[in-house]
Amino acid sequence: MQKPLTETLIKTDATYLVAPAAKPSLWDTVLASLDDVAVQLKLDPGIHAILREPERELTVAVPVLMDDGTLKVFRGYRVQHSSARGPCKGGIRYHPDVDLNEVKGLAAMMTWKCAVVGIPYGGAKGGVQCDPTEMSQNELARMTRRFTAMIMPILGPKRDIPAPDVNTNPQIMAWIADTASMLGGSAMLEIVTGKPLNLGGSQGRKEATGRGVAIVTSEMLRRAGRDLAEITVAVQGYGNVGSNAARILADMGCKIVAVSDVSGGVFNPHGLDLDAMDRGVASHPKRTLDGYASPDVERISNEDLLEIKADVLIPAALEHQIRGDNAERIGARYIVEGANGPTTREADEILNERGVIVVPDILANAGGVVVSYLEWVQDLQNFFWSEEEINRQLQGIMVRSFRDVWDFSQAHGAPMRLGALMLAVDKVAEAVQARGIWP
Amino acid sequence: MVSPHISTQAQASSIEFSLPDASTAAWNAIDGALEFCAANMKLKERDAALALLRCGGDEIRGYFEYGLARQLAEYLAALDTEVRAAYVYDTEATPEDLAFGQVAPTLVHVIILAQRKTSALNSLIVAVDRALTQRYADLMGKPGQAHLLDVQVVSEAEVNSRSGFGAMLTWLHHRPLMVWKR
Repeated sequence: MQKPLTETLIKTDATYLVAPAAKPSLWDTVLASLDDVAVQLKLDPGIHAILREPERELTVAVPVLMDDGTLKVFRGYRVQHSSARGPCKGGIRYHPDVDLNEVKGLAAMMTWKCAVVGIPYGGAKGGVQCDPTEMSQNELARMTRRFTAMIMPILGPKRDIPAPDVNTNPQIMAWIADTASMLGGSAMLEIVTGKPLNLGGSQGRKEATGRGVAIVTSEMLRRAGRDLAEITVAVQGYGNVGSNAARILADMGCKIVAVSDVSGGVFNPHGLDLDAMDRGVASHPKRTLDGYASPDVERISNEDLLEIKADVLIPAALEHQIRGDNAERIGARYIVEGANGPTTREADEILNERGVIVVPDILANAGGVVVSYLEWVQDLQNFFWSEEEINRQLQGIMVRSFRDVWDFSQAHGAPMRLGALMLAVDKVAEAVQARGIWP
Repeated sequence: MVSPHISTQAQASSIEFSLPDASTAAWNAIDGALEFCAANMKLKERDAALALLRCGGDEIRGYFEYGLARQLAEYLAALDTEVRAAYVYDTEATPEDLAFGQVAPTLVHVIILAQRKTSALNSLIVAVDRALTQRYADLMGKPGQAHLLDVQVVSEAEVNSRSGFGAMLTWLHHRPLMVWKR
């Protein structure tokens, strides 16, 4: 039997309530880049002021009855940065260090990302300060359902559509969809994306980000007048994104000369045998590239891979891999950012000076959010496409987005990262302008 | 089963320490991780967790990783006072992609935060990793198919200077989760 509330231990774990760090928050950083772009675009001051504030910030205290009978209160957030271009879209993360400024910053970044690829969404993000390693499945389910109920006033298939992010997954998305459906009294699966396939999820999602990376890479090379059959590619990170990008680029005719994972990398200037490599990885106890050996292959480190003289480098692993201390030695002429934030600001400046073309993460790894959009479209129409159709739609959207960013960057004499952000802000500003201010 | 132990006589203080060797530590760590799975997934016992782990599934694998990393950290911390905390992290390029599961089990990625990095700590990690591999392969009944550790040791100096894997503790998208601290 449940204890009376007064006898239960109410914990707002002090470790979650950390003081703000002395360094600038993510939100400060996002605002600084928006301000830079506003100057370059000669943005209307009124619209600039609108974009400097999230439309809505909802903070909730989520009470959860833990398995041991105690009550714990978790702090949760949902921030909608802009709905000018359509319903807000963005993930929900579970992590002890989530805070409001981080969520605001991530929400704005989703606004720009959706605008860059031209999908009709605004940007949002959410999070709950919790430690999922300490919580049972039942506790996670109860927390997710209560959090959903508490942010439900601002969620909806035409208002705000969450998705998985750090430490959340399709199961958690299924709980959100179920909670919304129960509260609404009718099926509302289209309120989230990233759902399991048998619950309104989309075909093609698993490969979407890697496929998107491959599509923008091939489009960039085409624009640069390069023949794919003559292109060499190095891929750092052989997870879902890196391996799919490598495989699809190889199918397009590129030569994959180097790949790496946590165990290090392999290099063959004449091209790697991806099938043999995958068999080696699958048969190795650690399921890493340690399992692949061939007389033609040279073992290299992750740092070595970045310096290989390949035409294209795809960092598809962790953040901050290309830094001020190694940017001078990057061997590739083109970099396509499969991972989020693999290049530091300092490195970016060095690469620009060296004339290295960088396709920024906001565009290069947007294949995932594009297929999330396609999942939502299918849910709304209650009709589901084949994987071939999903891939065809993804191809069209990524090619168009790449061309838009490339042309805009060329027209403004800006590197692609700046060009992508300028284009995104311009599109959102245009939408705000067109809609006008109500009332 | 009686666990073998290494006994060390600390002569100065005349206190006897009894610490498990790597092989016993591996047994204990995997048992502890399975119990952690059972508790968090409301399974009746450790064996039910093992059966579920053999079948695969993201949920039990997640709990097994947390439990194993925690057990590993406790073992290392008992033997090495430099160890301060342990974190788990993932190497997928974007968090959204991680959510869509992996075809095959991959490594348990662990960051051990130590006051300073020493070769003694590295040797200890190698020994316990080897023992864990063997024990896990036996338990899963799949020799050569074991799911093992990727352990990165970072020093407090590296965290402060945000260099190497030390920088990762403050990253935005690949934010590790602390599973143990001293």
